[in-house]
Amino acid sequence: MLFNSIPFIFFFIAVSSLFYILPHKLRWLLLLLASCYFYMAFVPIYILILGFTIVIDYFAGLFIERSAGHKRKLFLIASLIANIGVLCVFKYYNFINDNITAVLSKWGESNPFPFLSILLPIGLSFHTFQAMSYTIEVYRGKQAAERHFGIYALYVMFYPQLVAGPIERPQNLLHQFHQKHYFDPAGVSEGLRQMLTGFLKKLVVADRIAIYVDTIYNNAANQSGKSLACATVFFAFQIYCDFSAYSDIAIGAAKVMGFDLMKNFNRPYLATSISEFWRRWHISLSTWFKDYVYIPLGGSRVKSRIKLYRNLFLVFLISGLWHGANWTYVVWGILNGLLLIAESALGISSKAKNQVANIFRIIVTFLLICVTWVFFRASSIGSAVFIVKKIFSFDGPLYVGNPKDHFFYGLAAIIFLVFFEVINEFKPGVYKVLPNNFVSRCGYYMLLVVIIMLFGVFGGGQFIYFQF
Amino acid sequence: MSRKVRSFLFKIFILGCMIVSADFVAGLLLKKLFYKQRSGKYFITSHALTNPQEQVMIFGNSHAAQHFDAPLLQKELGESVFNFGNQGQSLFYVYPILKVILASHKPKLILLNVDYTELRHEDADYERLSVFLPYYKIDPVIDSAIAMSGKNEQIKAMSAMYRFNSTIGYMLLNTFGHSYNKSMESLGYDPFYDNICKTGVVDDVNPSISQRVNFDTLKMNCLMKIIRIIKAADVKLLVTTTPLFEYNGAEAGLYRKKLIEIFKTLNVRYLDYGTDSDFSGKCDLFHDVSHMNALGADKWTTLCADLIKKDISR
Repeated sequence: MLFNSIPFIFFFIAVSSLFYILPHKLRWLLLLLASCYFYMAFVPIYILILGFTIVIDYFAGLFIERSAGHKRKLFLIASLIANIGVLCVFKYYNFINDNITAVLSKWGESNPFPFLSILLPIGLSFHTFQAMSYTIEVYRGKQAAERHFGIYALYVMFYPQLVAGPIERPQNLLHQFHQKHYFDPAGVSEGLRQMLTGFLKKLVVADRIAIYVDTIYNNAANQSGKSLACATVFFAFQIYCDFSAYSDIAIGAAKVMGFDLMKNFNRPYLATSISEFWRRWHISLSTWFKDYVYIPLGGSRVKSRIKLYRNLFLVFLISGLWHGANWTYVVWGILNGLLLIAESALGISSKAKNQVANIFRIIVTFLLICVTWVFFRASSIGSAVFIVKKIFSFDGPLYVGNPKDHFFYGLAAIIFLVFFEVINEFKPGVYKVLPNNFVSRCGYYMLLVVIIMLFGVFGGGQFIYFQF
Repeated sequence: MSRKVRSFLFKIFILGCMIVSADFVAGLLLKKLFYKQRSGKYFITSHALTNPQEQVMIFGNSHAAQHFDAPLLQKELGESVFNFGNQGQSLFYVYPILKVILASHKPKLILLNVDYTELRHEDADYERLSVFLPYYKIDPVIDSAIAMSGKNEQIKAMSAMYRFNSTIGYMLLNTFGHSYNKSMESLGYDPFYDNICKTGVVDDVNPSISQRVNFDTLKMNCLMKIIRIIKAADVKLLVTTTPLFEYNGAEAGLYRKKLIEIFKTLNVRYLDYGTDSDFSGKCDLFHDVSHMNALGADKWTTLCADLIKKDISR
């Protein structure tokens, strides 16, 4: 079920209302059933994959806690193999097979392995990583194993963040399912406000910009350098608004029922360096990689610079692969890793003291990130290289599309977005001068609804990160 | 129910009422502005749905809009003409418009322009029916077209603001800075002036569009329904395919064959000029590979006028 659909609105109202009507002891069951229904609205059969990893990880958690020494590690490895195995089969098998075919065909051999005609289960990488964080934390002794199977299943399946995060940690989320949540008008209002902001970002900005970006990128060979440069900058805002909108709706929907999910975005395009960008972008994944890959590899406390660079490179290589089974994502990850290595080598990862220098850094960081997005968006490495070359040639006229409305609506939406992001980052106190009473709040919500109804793109489709 | 829950629900209720009121008021204001447009796709559609009186009516997509010089045709035929052709629109757009028009007016001739690939399934043809949203509830046939434009569209159309979604900029442009193209002065004609000799032939193929033959049975039914309602209203019908710069026989051939078959079965006169050698490959007559420019349109209109004069006088 898509967040940006009418059935979701009815689903959300029904589930949130029932949540407060039902006694506390039945709420986990309501949420679990609702989450199953939410997930099965995509491809019902894939609930079995989710069920498989839930059962494995539930028992792995219990066994890890009960065991000691070598056995403990064995149960953890079994759990990790099960999770990564599912990922490999459903996400990477055909990709690996495709590459084997390419290599073998160079030697004149045919590939004996068959291709699987399977669809990637929605949000597989997200719930698999969330499940893995549970068994790792239990192994590390930072989280007690969950005894209640239903609650554990709910931890993996909680519908607001099931298909595109934020990727939660058990320490933050699991205990919340045991707590009794009382109706808190302020929390509910805050949740609804955040959801409304998410809908605004998705429908008015992301899906509007997508029309122009798709027009240009789907016919990149015939586009000018200026059009491709413009489409790439637009894509940077599209993916930000698309993904952060999902997080806003997820966090907001959870908050309405009294659950606190972790923040996933913090105005990433105002970062003054690539490393800061990654502290602000998809925070739940960045911290996951930091906690479970980067630090175990030695992190930044390694003795030699080479090992530090190796760690950075590996983390972003895996991050690229996490995003998708395609070389474009691998290159995207590698590029980000190389940029971080360069930044670390040059010692420019901290903020400058001069405000003008910081603005310059924000622009440079944004442009570098845009170059990496080309690889993320393009259909192949060849296409991405062609687009980058064209962008740097900056030739030809700027095609604004036909009809032109989408381009100008999109441009206006980006300008407004940047304006509010800058205000929120540098002058958050400005809002204090605005009246904060029921009438002014209603006026604000009405304004958001009017903007969505008049300028939103309805039926724009699913969120970009669903495919991961 | 505790006091704070009651208070919260009351506030939500008040907010809901305010939003519904705002939607109603904004809808009224936008509707007023909407009908003040003097050019553009909505002007053409509004004119079609608000009692048009022309004797010769042209329907179709951009090939109709850009290839039939309506003022020239009016001069040649000595009858009032209006070009209701609209960019990107398919037979699904033509049917409800014709149904509304024929309920109150009997023109002398209807010219329906079709592409060879008119019967191919394209999702966009359904989505583009959202052009009817501002006309929600003016006729059940329009509401049916809106329902075809997407899932839950009729539910969404209950919001007066949603009906004018993404139209404000377009409305303002065509109200305060209206153009000759697609206006009352041009009688709906939408000329292009550049020619393909200057710009060069650009491969206009979108790779995401499937090139496989994929007949849309709903469109076939729609075409037959169009022919039947025109015949039932006792109005003369002439179907045309305007000249193309180049003909992709491999792709369009099967669709073309089906069209000819339908017109033959239903006894409809069909002027098939898509591959006419007087036009094909002549870069000075074309704006792009798919559309003629004003020069080509005038040449075609003059030719067409000669061919249909006797239909009018008969």
